[in-house]
Amino acid sequence: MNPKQLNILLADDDIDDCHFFKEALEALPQTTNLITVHDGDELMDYLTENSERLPHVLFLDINMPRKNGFECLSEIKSIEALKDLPVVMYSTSGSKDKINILFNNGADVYIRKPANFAQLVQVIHHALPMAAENIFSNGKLKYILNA
Amino acid sequence: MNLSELNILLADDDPDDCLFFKEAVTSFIPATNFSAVHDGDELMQRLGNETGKLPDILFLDLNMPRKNGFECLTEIKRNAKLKSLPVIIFSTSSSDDSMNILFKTGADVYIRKPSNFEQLVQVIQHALPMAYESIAAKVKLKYVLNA
Repeated sequence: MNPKQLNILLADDDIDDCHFFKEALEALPQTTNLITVHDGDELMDYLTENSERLPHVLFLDINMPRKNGFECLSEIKSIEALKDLPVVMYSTSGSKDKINILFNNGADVYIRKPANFAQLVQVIHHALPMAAENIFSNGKLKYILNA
Repeated sequence: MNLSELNILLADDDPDDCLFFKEAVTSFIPATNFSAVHDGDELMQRLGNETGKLPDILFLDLNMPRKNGFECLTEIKRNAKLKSLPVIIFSTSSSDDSMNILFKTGADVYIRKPSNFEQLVQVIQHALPMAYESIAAKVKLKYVLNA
């Protein structure tokens, strides 16, 4: 994934986590442009309105008000104009069962939110190329970062 | 990490898997210094050889004769001379319990062997930088590729 500027959409209702994420992006070697939405309805509205110029990758929190990450992921993967959007699930928790459901529903990468900044930078850095390649590959790989 | 000078050791008793692995690595690092051992005793002898140079990275299968991957990992991480060798577990299975034990024992990355060549290349490419940074990190992240 080598566009000059990587457009990233983050759906997360926790304002502190959004700040933390933005700072981590700024520590990456590539140039990124971050847009954030704070609940599932806002996410789906944004994607529907911008289906002609989608972000390069979506980071999707699971526990969000109005529509959670599971519901958003299922909707995204069932809409023709959105289904090729790479989705990185981004959550504080995750049982093996839940993670399996997410992969079955089309998630590309699962990140358990790390507690410290350096780790967050690392996992985002690794997740970006994984998410991009998965969309184009035959038979998905399942990546769990910070298992 | 200079990929072209990387000295990679694979411990795996399955000759087909070794061949497959070698082809995958040489597809993106043509001049790699690759070698393989086929059981746990042979691995520990190779690593314990005072005159031999340590590999830069070890890919370690779990089910091997004479000494399995769990035992080898434990010995490696208890040995002052060997413990900073990055270890990538490379196995066909992945139960949560065994994965947790492996990460606790000091594994850096867990790869479930993919069934196709393209995927194998992808996971090896992702795993190499992860294993390197993991060794240097104060608090380890847990990476599971092809969960």
